[in-house]
Amino acid sequence: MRLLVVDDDPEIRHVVRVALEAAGFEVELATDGAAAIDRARARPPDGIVLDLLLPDVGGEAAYDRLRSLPGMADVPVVFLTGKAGRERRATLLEKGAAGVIDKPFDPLTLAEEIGRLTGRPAGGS
Amino acid sequence: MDELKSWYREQLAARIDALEAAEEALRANGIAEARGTIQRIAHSLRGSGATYGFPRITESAAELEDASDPDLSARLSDLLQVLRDVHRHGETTPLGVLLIDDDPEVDRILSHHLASESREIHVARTAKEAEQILANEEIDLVVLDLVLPDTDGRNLLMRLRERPSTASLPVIVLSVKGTALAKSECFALGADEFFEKPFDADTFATAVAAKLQRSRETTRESRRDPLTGLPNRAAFHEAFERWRALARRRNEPLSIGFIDLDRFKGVNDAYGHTAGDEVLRQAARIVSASLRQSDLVARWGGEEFVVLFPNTGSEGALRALEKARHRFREHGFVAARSPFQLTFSAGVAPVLPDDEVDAAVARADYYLYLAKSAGRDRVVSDHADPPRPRRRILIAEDDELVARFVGHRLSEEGFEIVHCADGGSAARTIAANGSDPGISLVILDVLLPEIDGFELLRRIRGSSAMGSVPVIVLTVMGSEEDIVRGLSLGADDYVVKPFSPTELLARVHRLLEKRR
Repeated sequence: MRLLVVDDDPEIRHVVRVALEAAGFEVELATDGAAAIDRARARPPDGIVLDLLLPDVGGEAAYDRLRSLPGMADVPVVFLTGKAGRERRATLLEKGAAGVIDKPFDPLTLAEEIGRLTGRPAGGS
Repeated sequence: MDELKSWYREQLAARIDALEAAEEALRANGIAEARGTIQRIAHSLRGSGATYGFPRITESAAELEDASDPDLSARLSDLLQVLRDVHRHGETTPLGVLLIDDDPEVDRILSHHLASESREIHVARTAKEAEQILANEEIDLVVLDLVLPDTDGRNLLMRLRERPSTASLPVIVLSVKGTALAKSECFALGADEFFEKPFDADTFATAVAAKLQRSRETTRESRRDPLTGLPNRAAFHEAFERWRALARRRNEPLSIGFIDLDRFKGVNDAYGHTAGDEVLRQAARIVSASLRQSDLVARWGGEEFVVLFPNTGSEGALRALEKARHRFREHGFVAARSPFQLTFSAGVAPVLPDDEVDAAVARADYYLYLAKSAGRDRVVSDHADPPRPRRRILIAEDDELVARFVGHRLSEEGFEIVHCADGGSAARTIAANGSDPGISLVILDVLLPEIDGFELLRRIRGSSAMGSVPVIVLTVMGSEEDIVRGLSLGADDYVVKPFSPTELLARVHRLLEKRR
């Protein structure tokens, strides 16, 4: 179970990686939308954790591009958002996101939450 | 988790540097230059702070991110203070105790008794040392011996009281036995407590703890939200505790409402943050004015407001918020000379006897979420809505464009539209309606082919099933006699073409509210 984690914030990347790896996920990191697309194109992940506020393209635009890559139409994508609010959250779910997790989040339950949202618990394939 | 925490605290150094640079830029180049950078960093810290177990960072960063221009600099320095604290000490700022006594033995004993994880004890042997510590450290309480090598403790006490920064700092005076005069003199000079040596160390420690607690409370930030003037979240928390206890004691219901302005981000995007702030101020006013004096409205954060309804079940709270919602949606906002309108969504839930604030808010938030998902501009509560059939509106209008436009807006609002393009078909629909009052409102154009609007109105008022259904007539500009004739035939309201659909909608809602 390999997850691509996309966030421009080094502290968030760190805690997400630590939390997910501790739970047995394999984690690949990207700092912006362009890097995420490169990674996903080179090696499609089993799931994506995507920050909504990316410096280059914005999380939603990155989402659209990731989705349009070959083999990526059904890969579960969980958004991490700073302050999406219900409005934005509803829109993201309408777009087909698997879930939306607010920052700040609890690192101790993050992996479980992501496993639940993506329907792919750690260790499974 | 501890490893993560200390890793994060190390990272804060870079954030502090960046914010200090931004603070400098703010001073030198103004808000326009610095705002973007500051908000970006604030946003990031808002997300990461509590994630790493430092909620104070998240709170303070949120206040900075949402700060209006005039508050920006103050909120920035608040956040920097919190970051420096956490970077240095971890989450809680230790309470600073300054012990001024030249006897090393007394210092040792007292330090031992006062020591706690949440306190930092500073010791000064002279008044001069004490002044230095006061200038450089955060001190929340002073323990002062009257006999000091370089001055009389009373002089120091006087100096502390004269200085605004230390005027309300709690001071506990220590003295040797048998100096009754000194005692009353010290109280006159502003001492908070007086202990004669030798004293019981436990009593002393208790007094210090009580004073420290008070000290922290009085230095807490104001309980009002500076933008809207409403109570802030902290004040709401306190009121909540009080009212929940009261409700439990009196066995009265207590309800909570959670309001979120719809598409508020659009206002900021279209008109800027200043306009957004103005909208929040007005929203606060309208909502407060629509509710009872006894209801407590507080700003929760961003465009969210929270309301406590004492001695009110969720059904009553729902009704009250519906009233506020109508007032709000009819309010005309203006920004950059363009008028616009806004709506809000709200969730209502009962407060249960053992609820913590967060649990109650989360429950109301859930219904708010349902309200948003159901299309916004509505109030949803746990109280099951009485099964209300979809209300049907008959539009008799031959101008297809007008009919479509109005019909579209009304169906967006959840109404079912029956459109008749001429008087004849409208009359048949009404006749066919028979005794079934399926139509809750009629909008009719006075100028209709076949049977004109006035005749139609006469037939509606004459029918048993629809005799009391509200009717709005549409007339054209400059035909006042049509309005008079319409009203005299029993129309409830009129709208003159060209009209804004919003205006018509407002009237539809008003008439339907009245009939409920």
